[in-house]
Order: sequence, then C-alpha cells, then structure tokens
Amino acid sequence: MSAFNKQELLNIANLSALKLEDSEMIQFEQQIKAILAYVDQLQTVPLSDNISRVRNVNIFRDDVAVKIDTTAILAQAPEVDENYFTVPKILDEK
Amino acid sequence: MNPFITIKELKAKLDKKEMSVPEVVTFYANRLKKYNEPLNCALEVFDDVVQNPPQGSGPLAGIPTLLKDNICQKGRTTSAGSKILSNYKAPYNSTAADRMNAAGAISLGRGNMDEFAMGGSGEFSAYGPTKNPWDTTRVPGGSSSGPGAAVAAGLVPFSLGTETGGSVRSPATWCNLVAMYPTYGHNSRYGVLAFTSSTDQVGPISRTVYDNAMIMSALSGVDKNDSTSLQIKPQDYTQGLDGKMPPGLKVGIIKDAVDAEGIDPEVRAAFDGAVDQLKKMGAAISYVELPNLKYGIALYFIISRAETASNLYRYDGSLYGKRDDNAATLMDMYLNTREHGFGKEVKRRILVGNYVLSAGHKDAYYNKAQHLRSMLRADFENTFKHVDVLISPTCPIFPWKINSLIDDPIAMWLADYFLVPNCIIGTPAISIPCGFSKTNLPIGFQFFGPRMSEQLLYKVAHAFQESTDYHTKTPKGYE
Repeated sequence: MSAFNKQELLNIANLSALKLEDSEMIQFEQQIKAILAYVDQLQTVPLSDNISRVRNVNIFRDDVAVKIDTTAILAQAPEVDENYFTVPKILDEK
Repeated sequence: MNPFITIKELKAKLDKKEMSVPEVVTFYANRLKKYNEPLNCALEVFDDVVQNPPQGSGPLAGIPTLLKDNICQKGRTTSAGSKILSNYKAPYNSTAADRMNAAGAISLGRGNMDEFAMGGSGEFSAYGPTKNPWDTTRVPGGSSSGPGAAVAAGLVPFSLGTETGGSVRSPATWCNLVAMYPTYGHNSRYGVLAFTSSTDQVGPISRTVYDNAMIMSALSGVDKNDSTSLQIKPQDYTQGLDGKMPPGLKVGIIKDAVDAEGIDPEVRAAFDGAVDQLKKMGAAISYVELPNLKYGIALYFIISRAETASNLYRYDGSLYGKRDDNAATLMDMYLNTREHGFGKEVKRRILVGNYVLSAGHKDAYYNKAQHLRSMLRADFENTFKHVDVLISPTCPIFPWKINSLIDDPIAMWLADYFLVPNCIIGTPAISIPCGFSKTNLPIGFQFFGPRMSEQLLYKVAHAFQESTDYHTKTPKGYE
C-alpha cells in the first residue's frame, strides 16, 4: 500500500506549501514511510455495518451584517495600506 | 501559605479574609517566576495583573490560574508555542477566558505547550521543553505541558489546557493531577487555536476532583460563537460530590488495558490496586472488550493529521503572525514563512495530513478512518449498555527522559493508546492519581463514561479520591 517515495514527498510538500531542506527530505521520507506502514494496519480491517451514526443538527442564526472595528485586526497585519492587507506581488516578472 | 492548597481551601481562606486577593496573586506570581527557570512552564507572567489584580466575584473569585498559550486572552500574545505566531496578540477573548473572568478567576499568564498542541510530551514547543516537577530530567506530558507542570509544582492552584487526543490527561497522569476531557461540544472552542476541530476541547487541570468539577462548571454551557457547542445550560458539578460511590456501580475494565504487551508492570500494579479499591467500595467489576480499540491510534492519527493540514493552511504570513520579508512573490512569502515558522513535528503532521487527503489516497486512509471511527463509537455505545463506566490506566508507561524519543514519533504516540479513543468519538474521561513508581513517579488511571456523563464521572472519581491519599503527595523542592 505505502509505496511512499521522494516524488510523493515533493508532491505533498507542494500541496502543503512547505519547502523542505535536503536533510528534512531524507528524514521525513523515512519517518513518513514508517508512519504509513503503521497506519496501513487499517487496510485489512473489514468494514462492518454495525456503526453508530451521530445525529448532528444544524445550528442557525440570523444572517445579520455586523460592523466590526477593523483597527485591532489590521494592527496584527505584517503590512497594511489604509484598510487593506498588503502582500508581495503574485506574479514574478521573470 | 501552603502552595499546594486546593481551590476549595483557598476560596475558604479568601472568604474568611485570612488572605487578600492581592496577597494570593503576589504569592503565586512570585512562585511562577522563581520556579519557571527550572521548569519552563510559563511563557509569560502578566505583571500588570500582578500589580493590579481584578476584584472579580463568582465561584472562582480571586483564584489565580494559567491558560495554555493556544487559548486567546485579549491583548495578550497567543503563540500556540510556535514561532509563526510569536508576535500575534489576540484581538478578542476566547469564550474559555471570558468564562474564567466571569467566574472571578485571575489569569496570571500563558502556559507553555507543544507547538499547536501537537505532541504528548511538551518537547515540541518552539520555546523549549517543559520539565516534569517530579523529575526534571523527564517530560511532564503534553501537549498542555506548562499548565500541568505549573499546577504540579504549586505555582498556580489550577490551569486550563486543551485536549485533542490526551493533552490534558497526559500531563495530569504524569504530574499527579486531575484532568477531564469532556463530551465534545461541552466547552466552547471559540478563540482556541484550531488543530483537530472535530475533537478539540478545553479541559481543566487541578489537584483534586472537586476542584476540577468547580472549574468545569464555570466553563460549561452553550456558546453562540461556537455552533458545535452543545445546547446545555451551565451546571454545578460539585453538587452531589458526597464521597459516596453510587450503589451497585458497574465498572468495566477494558481488557486491552490489562493484557497490553507494552504496559509497565508498575503501572499495571497500581491499576490493579485501584481496581481492588473500587471493589472494596462496592463496585461490580467485569471485563469488557472493545474490538476496535486497537485501531484507535491509527485512525486518530489519520483524522487528526488531515484536519491539521486544513487548519494550519491559514498560517501563511498574510494577515497576522510572522511574515518572512525576503520574498519577491506571494508564493515565496508563503513558503518562506511556513518553512521558518513551523517546527519539525508540525511540518511532519501537515505533510501526512495532505497525503491522506490527496487524490488517490483519500479513500484508503481518510474515508476508511471515518468509517472505523463510527465502528469504534458503536463499540463504546454497546459497552455502556452493560456497564456504567469503563476504566483503564491513563498512560501505559512512565514519562521518558527529555529528548530520548524525539526522532521516534511512533513510539511517542503509542503512549496515547488509552487517551485517543474517547476523544475520537467525543466522549468524556477523567484521569486521577492511583499510585507511584519505586522511583516516585506518579501513576494515574481513568474513568470513561458515555456522552454527557460528566456528573457521574465526577461523582465516581471524587468518591475514589476521597478514599485514597495519592493526590495529597507533592514533588520535592518546591516548598
């Protein structure tokens, strides 16, 4: 089941927005292989229909717009321009 | 004053005006400062609160506490033990903090923790490991490591932790304390930094069962800001704590608990002692099997990593927290910020989470785990048709030496064998002391109950505790 390899690690690192150093690549590949080998015990468990279904109910509230003071929120931002969050440009010029 | 005083006793002293609130606050703040150096349990002590303690009223009026660093306290840094939030100041109060304020408790600071509550030992904080007051070469348990160690050393009378898969009961059992994971939704998650949203709960850590019931009573009740909170009214769980075991109580021993290969013989012996005590108190003991319990770790593992991957995607340097400034593009900013902001354990969990959720693997891992979760819940529900409560050791082993297992994640997680199953199905459990090793390390065991059985669990655990004196023992060197 777990044919986990370097290519898969690169793929999930990409999905995770994580850049891994070479040393991390080696360590994580080994560790995640071991982790998947452990959880693979679930693959052979027969699924039974004897299950419990939790009856969750939706909780509704009125959809009312509330005005909030944005000062405290914006004060946490690394960079702002008046009432906007500022981030680096999305596209590289190269 | 005896620093290991219970909330109940301290409240009586305050009521009788034997001590004033500022005296109590100064007393504990000084202890927090004095012993933080060896223990590393507090990330901050709020000096302004110590200078001007609030004069609250309520059931916990004037009682100092420490809140885990992932529970938002307005205007305070809330870093979740991570570098990525080292500069984040909570713009609002969590409901847990609000309810503590409303009950009159006084938060003296922020407790150290495993980064984003990911860890069972306290070793994964970006601010250094917390030490166990019973043996400072060993881990205190986690992830609520600081809140646990602080209460154990008598630096605060109680603390609030959070638990996703054992994180209040683990430090409780390894530090000779009491902690409860309540029914999922019993306590509001509003303002608690999310890790595994389907199991995260706030849980009290205290010296005694009675104290724990006092704190839980103040935390409980529906919250309009958390739609997963249960539609329950606040209640007083100290009512009915008369020290008497309910007549004819049916107690089931989880068979795995006594048959497990990895269980330490001294833990086993202490657990057997607790069983004997329960028998003496009139409990009817039987053995029960939970066929799917053995899959608990694996399925908790898959579900919690999947939710981790989703919940932690938000930390990217855009809106709050640390941003890496050396990035030319938005993507580089995300990548650099996360690379430098997260520790190894958090990265490992995010990676595995995205793996089990990714195309081609989701059916085999995530969907399968969700189905098994329902099977495990059915196991517990069927068992509770025959017994009132279940018992097991809280941890099968003793706290390890700091750093000894740091690169062996699977060995660490197996310590959570009896901690994760009830969390994954959202049912309550309380851990209480039941003995010591020859080397004087605490041992705990736990009672599990069905959904919403908090009152019964407190009553049973309180009766047991009143008949024993393990909880009155304290670590040496903190007098």
